Amino acid sequence: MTVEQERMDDATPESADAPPIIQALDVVKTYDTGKVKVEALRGVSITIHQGEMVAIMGPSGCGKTTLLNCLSGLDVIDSGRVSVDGVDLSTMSDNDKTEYRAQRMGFVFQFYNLLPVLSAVENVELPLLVSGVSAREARQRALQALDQVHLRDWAEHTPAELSGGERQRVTIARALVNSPAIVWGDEPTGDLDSTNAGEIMDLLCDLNERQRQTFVLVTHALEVAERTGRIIRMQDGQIISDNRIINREAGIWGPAEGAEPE
Amino acid sequence: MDSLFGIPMDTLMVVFLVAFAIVMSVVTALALRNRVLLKLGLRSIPRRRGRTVIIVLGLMLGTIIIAAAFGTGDTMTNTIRSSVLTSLGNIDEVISIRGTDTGTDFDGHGFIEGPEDIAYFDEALFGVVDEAIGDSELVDGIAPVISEPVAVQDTTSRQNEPRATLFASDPARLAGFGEIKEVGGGTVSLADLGPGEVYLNDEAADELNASAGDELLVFAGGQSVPLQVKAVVKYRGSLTEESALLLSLDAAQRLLDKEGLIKHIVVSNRGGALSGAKHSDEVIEALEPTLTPLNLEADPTKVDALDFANELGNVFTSFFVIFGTFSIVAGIMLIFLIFVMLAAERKPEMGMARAVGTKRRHLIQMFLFEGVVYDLVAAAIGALLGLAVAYGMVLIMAKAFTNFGVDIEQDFRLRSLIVAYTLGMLLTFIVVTVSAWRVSLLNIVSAIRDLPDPVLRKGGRLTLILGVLGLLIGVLLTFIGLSAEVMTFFMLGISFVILGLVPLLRRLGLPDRAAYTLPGIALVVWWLLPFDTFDFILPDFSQDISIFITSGIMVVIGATWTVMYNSDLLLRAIMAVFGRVRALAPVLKTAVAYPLTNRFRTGMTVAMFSLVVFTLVVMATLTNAFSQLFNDEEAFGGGFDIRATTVRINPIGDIDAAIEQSTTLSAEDFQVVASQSSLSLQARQVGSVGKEFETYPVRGLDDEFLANNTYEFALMAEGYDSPQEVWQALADDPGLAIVDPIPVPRRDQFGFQAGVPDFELEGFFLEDETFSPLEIDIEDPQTRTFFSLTIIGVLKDTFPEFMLGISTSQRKLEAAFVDRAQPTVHFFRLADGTDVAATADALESAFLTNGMEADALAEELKDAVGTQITFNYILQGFMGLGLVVGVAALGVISARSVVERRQQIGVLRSIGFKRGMVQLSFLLESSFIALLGIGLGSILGLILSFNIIRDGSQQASTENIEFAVPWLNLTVIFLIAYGASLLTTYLPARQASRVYPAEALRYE
Repeated sequence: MTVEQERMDDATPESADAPPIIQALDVVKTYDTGKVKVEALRGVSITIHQGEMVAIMGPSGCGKTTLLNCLSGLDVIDSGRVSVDGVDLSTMSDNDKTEYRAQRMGFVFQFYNLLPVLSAVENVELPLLVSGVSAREARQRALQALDQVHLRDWAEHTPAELSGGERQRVTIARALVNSPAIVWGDEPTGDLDSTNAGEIMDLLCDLNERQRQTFVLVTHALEVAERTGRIIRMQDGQIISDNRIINREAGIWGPAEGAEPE
Repeated sequence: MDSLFGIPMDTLMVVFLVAFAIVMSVVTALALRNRVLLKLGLRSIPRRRGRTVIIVLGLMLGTIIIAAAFGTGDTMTNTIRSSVLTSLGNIDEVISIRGTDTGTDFDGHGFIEGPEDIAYFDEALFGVVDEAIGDSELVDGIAPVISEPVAVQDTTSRQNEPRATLFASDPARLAGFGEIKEVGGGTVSLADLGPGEVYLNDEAADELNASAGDELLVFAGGQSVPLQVKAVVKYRGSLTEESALLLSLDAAQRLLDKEGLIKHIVVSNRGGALSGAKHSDEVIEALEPTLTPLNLEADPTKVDALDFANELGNVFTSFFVIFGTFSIVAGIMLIFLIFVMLAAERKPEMGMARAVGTKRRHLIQMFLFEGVVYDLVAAAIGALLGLAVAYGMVLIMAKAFTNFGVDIEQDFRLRSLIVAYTLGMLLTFIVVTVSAWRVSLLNIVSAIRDLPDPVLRKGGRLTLILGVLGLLIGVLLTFIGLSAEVMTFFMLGISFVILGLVPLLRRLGLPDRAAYTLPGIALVVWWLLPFDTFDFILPDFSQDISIFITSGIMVVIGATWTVMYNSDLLLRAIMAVFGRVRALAPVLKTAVAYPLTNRFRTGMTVAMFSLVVFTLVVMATLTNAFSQLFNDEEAFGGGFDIRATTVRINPIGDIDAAIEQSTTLSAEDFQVVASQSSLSLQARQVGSVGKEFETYPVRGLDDEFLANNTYEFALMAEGYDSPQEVWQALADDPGLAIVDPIPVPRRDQFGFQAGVPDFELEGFFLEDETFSPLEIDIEDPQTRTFFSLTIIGVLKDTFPEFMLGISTSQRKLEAAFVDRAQPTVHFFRLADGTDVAATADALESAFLTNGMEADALAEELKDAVGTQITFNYILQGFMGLGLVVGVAALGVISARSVVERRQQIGVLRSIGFKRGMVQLSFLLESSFIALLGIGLGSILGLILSFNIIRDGSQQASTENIEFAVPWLNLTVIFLIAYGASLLTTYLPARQASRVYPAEALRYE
């Protein structure tokens, strides 16, 4: 039985029943470059449940990365409300948000964004050190995380010495090392070839399945999105559809709870 | 100052101006031909103003240092020149009896009374001389003069001046010698003085608290003469810059009992006070036929004094330029670093430009245009700031020299400004050109993708050529060093061999770590081994200040390589120590990892800091050790408490009897009373080839002095084992003598001296363990009295100035010169518990008629050491300027890092780095580099200082020197440098912390 089949049978209903972990209500975000104003998000509302694996799709410039940044607290919103774990982000200070990210969130970026001056294991252990874990324990857990992504033997290598796929796996290990409740991925396979992209998605799906963490992935690739349990489509700063998988084998998707049918 | 390292400043100015003109013409021509490149090159300047400021700051440091060195040189020259003019006014030549000292020698602190008894001659001779040259177009004044030190008491104000110069001339002849002006009034003349009247110059009036109408007692020739002050005047040309009484010639002749006699004829050349001096050679040549038969000779007093002024200025400039070399080298490294980092910033842009057809020379030109603009501005600001630095340094110096009555006169000549500007500009231009060429060598693909350039192939031909070249140069220098016995060449030769090994080891396939670490360690060890390690196989090398400069550069290269190529070990060590602090661990990890990964820029910055800190530590430690060595009352005073001098025209024949007879002094207060006479004679070493008799002081030490002084020797002749034996031998055998160390040759030439005497010895070195007693012939040029002395000892370097000369027994001098060898210097060792200062005052009062000036030797030493310490501070501050280079480098690196790492900052923020942590990480990064450089430089500097001091302690002349680090001074300087580093990094760090994560992550 494949991971997808298991998800089709179990994960979806469970995720949908799980309590919401991320809630956005009427979120507006405008970028003012001085000369022009770009409305990146125009009243976006969304609810994501604990353990869900969600893909946000859409053409370039539709606002999907901005949505991810606003939901994760990396960026501030102009109006509306975003709450994570029931806490309104706007009530948190910059330091509180940073601390929250360190303890409850993990990030996977398109261009890996590893620190080139640190080895793989040092990159992975950094969030643990930030969270105050002792150096010894951090190293141990970082090695375990690398083990999970099958890079235990590459622990002492610097990013420059790794392939694109390997770098992305290090990024995933770094995102997961502190067992975050939510993992954000901004085009996690965008810089990879199809083989590597497939392997990375296998890994993410497997982790989502086994550890029940919430994954929110921004992607423009349908093959990536289709491996998640829910696809949110955006256009011009708005959500235009929100579908949940009903039968993966048959490729049947239906409107997510509260969403308008496509 | 008129020259730098022996090259006339005029020549330098012309050469640099021509070079400057050529450079600017070429750059302008290129710019006009390629206006687009000019536009492209210049567009970055206004865009990043902050960066432009840092670049200009970095580029101008070399010029600041050069200009500051010139400024101090010019000021010292001007100070002496000013004293010369105060003393001599329009007097250019002084004619005296042949062979006598003119009494107007300049010692750098002012005109001093010559140690010779000055002979008077018939006033009628003036007429002969006047007839010979008085109408000549070469001169505009000639006058008969008496100049004599006398003691004065103002009976109105009850103040004494034990040493004032009585200056007298014929008022009718003084027309060409400037005007005598009454303070607050008009011009006066000596002819206006009535019987019993005298003018006081303003200095004397200050000392005596005198004003017009005051009654004076002048003590001269054993009698006291009452005079009345007619007016207080200002007069330049009284043969003193200090207290003077001005009288008409006939009045002075009567007062001194020298009827019909004069002491000098003074000549004023055509032209002004300064411009007249250039005719001195012609005037003396014209005078010679007249003077020789009259047994007179003319001394080019002003030219000599002005030459000394220039020489001193040159010494100051050379001194500060040499000690500024390290900062200039660091400045050059900074310029290189700045341009390499500018290139790194524009790499993709440059790659694209190359890809679409821009040639390498176009890239070079673009950088050159930009660099020249920075350069022109930086050199201009640098030259002006250099003036400000020189002004500050001179202000501090002025305070230090006040102890010696020297009034510093600020000066900076346009010529120096031009040389500083053009030299600074050209130096920077060369580095900019080399940097531009270096950055143009980019790999187009990696530049477009902003990836590191491919590593140079290890086994390439260039590697081999570099290695072999290094070895060849090294062997050649080693050979030259060994055959010429010159330490710098030898040490440098071996260093080049070691440096040459790096490319060869890489070619042999050794990993970079080993290929750099092994030679790096070898270089450090080679330079920091104790100096006597290889004494058993190596010759006795001579060495000079260049060894210090090369040692600094070499050990810093070696140490920086070693550290940078073993950075992982350092990182591990740091993490092991500080990583335990959980809050600090993640910040520390990134803070240290970045600089250790960016080997080039970190290495350059560490090397800049290390180089400057190294020199600072060495200089501060050595000057401190030497100051302490010289701050030895026993070595300075020779076991005496007071030194007193009397005027020659009224010496104290028997000082013991005089004390016994005094009603104000108690003989019990004096444990030892010793005396010394001094004559200015001519000396020559027997057997020296091609050497003439040269003037040098010869001192006669009485038996009390010989038996009781505690002066020690740097060298004692064979057969003498202790200073006491040497002194006893002088007492027993009048044919023996000792000498101060100045005429003795040295293997180590670290000194900077002006006015070094012409009298020199040869055949041995001060650093030797002993020497064979050597014969010197002594001749009195006045009477042609001739005798020989055998030198059996050389005083230690700690000898006081008043022991300068050849010292023999008083009996020897008395036998040769009878009355002329009258003791005029007296030394007193006081009984326990006697107040030294009070006794010195009492001696001055008791022997006022003899013009006695008495000084507590401990106080004299304190003043001398105080001046030395102030000077040390100035030197430390000046060398500390170089730390600005390191600080600026950190500023450039930090600013660049914020741009370079923007996205990574975003990642750090996304994984939980708070703003403060990002900021702290940048500050720690700078701290790490600054502290590594400071630490490395300190350790290397301390080891070298220890070796130098250890070496010094093994030489008799400086055997008491002790290793003592002036931690307080160094800590203050380092804290300032470190604080400035943090401050420079603070803004970029703050900027980095303000980066919003989402925005940073979007940044590509």
